[in-house]
Amino acid sequence: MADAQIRAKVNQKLIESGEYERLSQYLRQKLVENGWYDQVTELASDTLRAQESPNFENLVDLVEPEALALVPEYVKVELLGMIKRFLEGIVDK
Amino acid sequence: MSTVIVSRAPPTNDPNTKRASPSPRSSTSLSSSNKRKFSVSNGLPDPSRSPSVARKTAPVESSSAHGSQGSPSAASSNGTTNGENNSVSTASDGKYNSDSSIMSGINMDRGVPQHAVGCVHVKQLLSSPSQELALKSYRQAVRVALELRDRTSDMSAFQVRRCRICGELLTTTFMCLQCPSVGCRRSKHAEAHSRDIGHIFGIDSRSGHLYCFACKDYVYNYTLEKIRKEREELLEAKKLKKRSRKALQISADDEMLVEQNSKVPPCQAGLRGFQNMGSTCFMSVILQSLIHNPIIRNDFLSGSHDSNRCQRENCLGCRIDEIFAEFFTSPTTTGFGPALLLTTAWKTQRSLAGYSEQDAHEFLQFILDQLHATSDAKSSSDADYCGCIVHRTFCGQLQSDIVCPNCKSATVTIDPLMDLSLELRDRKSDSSRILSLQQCLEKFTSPEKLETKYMCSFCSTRQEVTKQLTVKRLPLVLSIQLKRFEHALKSNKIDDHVSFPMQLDMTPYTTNSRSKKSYIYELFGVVCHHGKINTGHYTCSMKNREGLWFNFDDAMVTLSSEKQVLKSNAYLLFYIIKELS
Repeated sequence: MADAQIRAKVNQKLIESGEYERLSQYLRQKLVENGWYDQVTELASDTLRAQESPNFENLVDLVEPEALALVPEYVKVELLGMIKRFLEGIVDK
Repeated sequence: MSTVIVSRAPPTNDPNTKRASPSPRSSTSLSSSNKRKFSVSNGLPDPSRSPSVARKTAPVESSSAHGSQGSPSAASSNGTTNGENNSVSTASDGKYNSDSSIMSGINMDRGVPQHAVGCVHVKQLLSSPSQELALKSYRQAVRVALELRDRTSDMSAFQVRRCRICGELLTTTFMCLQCPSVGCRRSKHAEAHSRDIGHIFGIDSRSGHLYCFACKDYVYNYTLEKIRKEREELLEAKKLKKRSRKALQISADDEMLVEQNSKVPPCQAGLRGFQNMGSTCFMSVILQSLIHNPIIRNDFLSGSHDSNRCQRENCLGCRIDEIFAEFFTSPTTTGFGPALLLTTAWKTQRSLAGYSEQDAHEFLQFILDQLHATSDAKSSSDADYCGCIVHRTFCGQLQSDIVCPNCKSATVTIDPLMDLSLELRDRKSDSSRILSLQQCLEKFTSPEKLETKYMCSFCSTRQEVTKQLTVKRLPLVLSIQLKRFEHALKSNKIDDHVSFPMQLDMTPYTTNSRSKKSYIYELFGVVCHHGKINTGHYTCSMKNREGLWFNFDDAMVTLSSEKQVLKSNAYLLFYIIKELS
């Protein structure tokens, strides 16, 4: 239960400080910059085109794993670093 | 990806209608809840009563979570457009804010067609006695979703949309249409609710789109989408501080009048090839670049050059206007023979007469010049501030700085700029390497020591001055010529591939490149030359309003793709500013 409380508090700090917004924007920018967005768009378009009866759930099942795998390592590392720094900043408060 | 010939046949048998494929499911009945009551008949529709329900046709709108587009069907394999979003706020999904992108013409997201029911379940709901209640609930939910969407630093906004079972804030959730329940997608809590309680409709708490848990798919019903779109536009208008859309709505009588007296453009309007009338492909490609140029297109289609009223003799403006009218209203798909345009062009410039292949870039300059000359909106003063559509679209400013190395004084000259002609090689360093577009631009705008010495008027000494060109003012449409044709001792064509991006940031090449503003351009046209320097053939690739790329080879129009376009050996490139801010 304490876990859930901590999680809730962290989320609150994350959102209210504007950090969530900053992180989202940054991530979005990075993914666009290195072509991930275009790659996944193309992948989704191709997958959808190939489906006989197109369906959202099917599309997600087919595309999501690959899309996650396509995220470049450095983006993941960078984002995790930013999250970590944020957490370090709010602990003990 | 297979190339498909674009057919112009109008859609048959409602290909735009999303239908569910019948499959057994536990319960589609909606139990009454304490707040709202719905009643929808149990089970599936009787197949014998609605025979067209049997097969789920490929929805032309993409069933992605991030937006729906109403794209008219081209060939059947054209399932979706590229995933452009219809949301505009910067805090929303994706870089392609299509509503604010100029490529989207007037309004990219034209919504779903009137006959779109979504799925059988929605259809049932909206033809049942509970429809008023359903619409009211949907309207409320959409308002919540869209108004809270951009408040990304507001805790309460997240709280409203949190999953009521696990409390997760930062994840996709669905608001139930029929009760106050909100469930997340990730842990399948919304799905559980639909299964346990039988409420099969969820509203995406960020986009407002309707999700049918029975179909396991986002479904797009005309009435509901209209509600959603209206709210979105209302919020958009508030953001941009424009007059609200309500002020622009017309009365039912007026609407009827407009409908009865207008002609609906056929699907894929503007998509047509040109017949080659004897080495005229150099003209065809340039004409296509004008047809697919959103600013030029919008101007001509709005009637700024009325060929019926124009009194000029041999007016190219009239010829272009006629072509626009023809391409956007005639249902013909066969190539257009530009005989009249040819004759007019020949009469204007004798050198164009004859059957030899000419340079497309020269023709572009010629036709732009003619459109300026025959424009009613042109100013008699200098090109920089001419009000004709050609100058308003293509004219920028090029700044030339000449610096004396001795006294450091600079002579600044500003000239109008209608297009950029770029050298493909860096003669100073490695003259065999072909540069990328960005590298060409870099080279074009980097300081260059001039070989001949100049007399500096400030320090009165002869010096090897440094000259630097930068773009002082960027045009709305940037046309770039890659100098593939070398006319040295021997005429030679550089046939190598020059890489270019879909999105081009021109900021580094502007005069004030330290400005925080970012000038991003989007590619919409590529003209390619195939073959040898004198005997060759021009083809082009253009992007249409929906973001689809098409290849034009004289009269043949085929569906292309971003990938294919980027691989082509471009000769002329057309970029348009991404956002008019």
